[in-house]
Amino acid sequence: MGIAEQYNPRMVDVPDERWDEAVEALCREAYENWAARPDVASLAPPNWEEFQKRPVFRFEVGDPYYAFKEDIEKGENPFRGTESGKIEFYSKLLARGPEYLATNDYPEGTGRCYGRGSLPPMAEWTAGGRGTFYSQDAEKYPLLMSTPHSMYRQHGWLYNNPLLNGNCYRHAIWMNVADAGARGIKDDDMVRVFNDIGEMLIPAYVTSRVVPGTVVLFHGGWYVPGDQESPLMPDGIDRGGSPNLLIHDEDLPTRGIGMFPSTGLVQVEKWEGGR
Amino acid sequence: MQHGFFYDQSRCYGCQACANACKSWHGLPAGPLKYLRIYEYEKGSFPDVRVHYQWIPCYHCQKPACVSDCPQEALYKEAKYGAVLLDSDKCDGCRICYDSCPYGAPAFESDEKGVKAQKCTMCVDRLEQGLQPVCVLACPTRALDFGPLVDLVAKYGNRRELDDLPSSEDTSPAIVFKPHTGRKQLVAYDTEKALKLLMRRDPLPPVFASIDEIRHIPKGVVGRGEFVIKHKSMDDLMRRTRNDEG
Repeated sequence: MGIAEQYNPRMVDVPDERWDEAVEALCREAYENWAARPDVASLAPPNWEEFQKRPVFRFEVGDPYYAFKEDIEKGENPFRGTESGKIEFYSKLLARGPEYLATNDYPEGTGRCYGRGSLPPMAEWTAGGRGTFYSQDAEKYPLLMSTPHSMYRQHGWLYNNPLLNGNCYRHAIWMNVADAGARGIKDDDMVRVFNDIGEMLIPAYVTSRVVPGTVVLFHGGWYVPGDQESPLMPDGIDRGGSPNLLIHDEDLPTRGIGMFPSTGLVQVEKWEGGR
Repeated sequence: MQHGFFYDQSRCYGCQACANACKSWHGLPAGPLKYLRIYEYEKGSFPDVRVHYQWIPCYHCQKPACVSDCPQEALYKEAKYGAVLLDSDKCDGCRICYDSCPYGAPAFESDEKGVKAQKCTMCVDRLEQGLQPVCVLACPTRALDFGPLVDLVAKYGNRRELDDLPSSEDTSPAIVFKPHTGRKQLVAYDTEKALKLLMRRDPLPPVFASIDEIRHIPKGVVGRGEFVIKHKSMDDLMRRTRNDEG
């Protein structure tokens, strides 16, 4: 297909038996090129053979690095982004509350965040949101769903690859023997997984390798609307196994960029309506 | 000279790289035509649970039951490497070999009657070129090895059976095993007490009604609860040799 030639031309015609040698030759060349750089060579790095025996290269640091070094050397205040211009243990910005933050760009030009949760102005312990056992929802939806990464997908990518489905991989909700037994479920039964925001039909994967009281649904599944509809899912109950449909996001803080809720409380029941 | 495989069960983690390499080298279509299968099954109950793997190609037995049972004399023992090979011109698809083989090694494309058997060739074509069988090369954990059986025995010992596998007595398979290591509880804790703590979720009802619900596992409830080596249908084979792990 010509991909190997572009991607790694030197490995194209290497037979399996010489693979390790070819890889080592590449690494060695890269190492020697690096060691020959004037700034590195002045530190006298070990040669490749010595480096193989003891793959650690220690050298004296002449001018040590410290936090905010570049700003300080330029004579700039590294904390100019905060309202007080100082390190804020109590954030004056966050104290203005989620409504202010959702309607104003701050700092100017960086855009708004639309999370509905609020982030306290000072770090404090919180009991967790609606996706944890601390939530009152745990009474109605007693199973905690976690959503680890699948080795068959890169997030949602490759979810619909036919070669990575069907005979190769069964997208299913993992549950413990005790939880399955209490609900009359056995492996490969269709189950309805639901809470107050979403609903899906998916096979059960019954195992002892899951902590009782929790279920596991590998993330990256797409929403595939099925024939069955419900007041909650007027476009069709999910058949694709998309955990996002069951995860609340109102705890996502307005300025907490980088936080992604990935757990949800759900209930599971046996589905008698066929596959 | 009899050549054979070595399988280190303690290293295998069921990634199926060997099975994919095998399919690719032999140009086999997707589906149940698998010259080698990897099985994965769990034993025990939470939290003392463990996953086991079995690697089943053709073990190229020294006393192959398939060869002696084939009414068409389609299966034969090749002389140079001791591989059990199949002459597909002679095979009439009766599947007696599948019933004879304790490991279920002969592979079939479908459940249709008359479909000819196919099987692992020990990669004799590669051996002739001085190469290793493709599955052995593909293993990322180096859990597989191949060579003259006497050399393997000298190198790895003479363990010829694994737990849960059929006895090697009648067929004398050309395979040396290293079993998985025993389960070690690295952090000492009292399982009974841990389960009791896990059970409580005041003020809500307990997570499970009794510890017995976790320990007592009725047959057929757990998907990977048992190791079945021979299959009633190709669907069953696909289901049991599929890797569902995430």
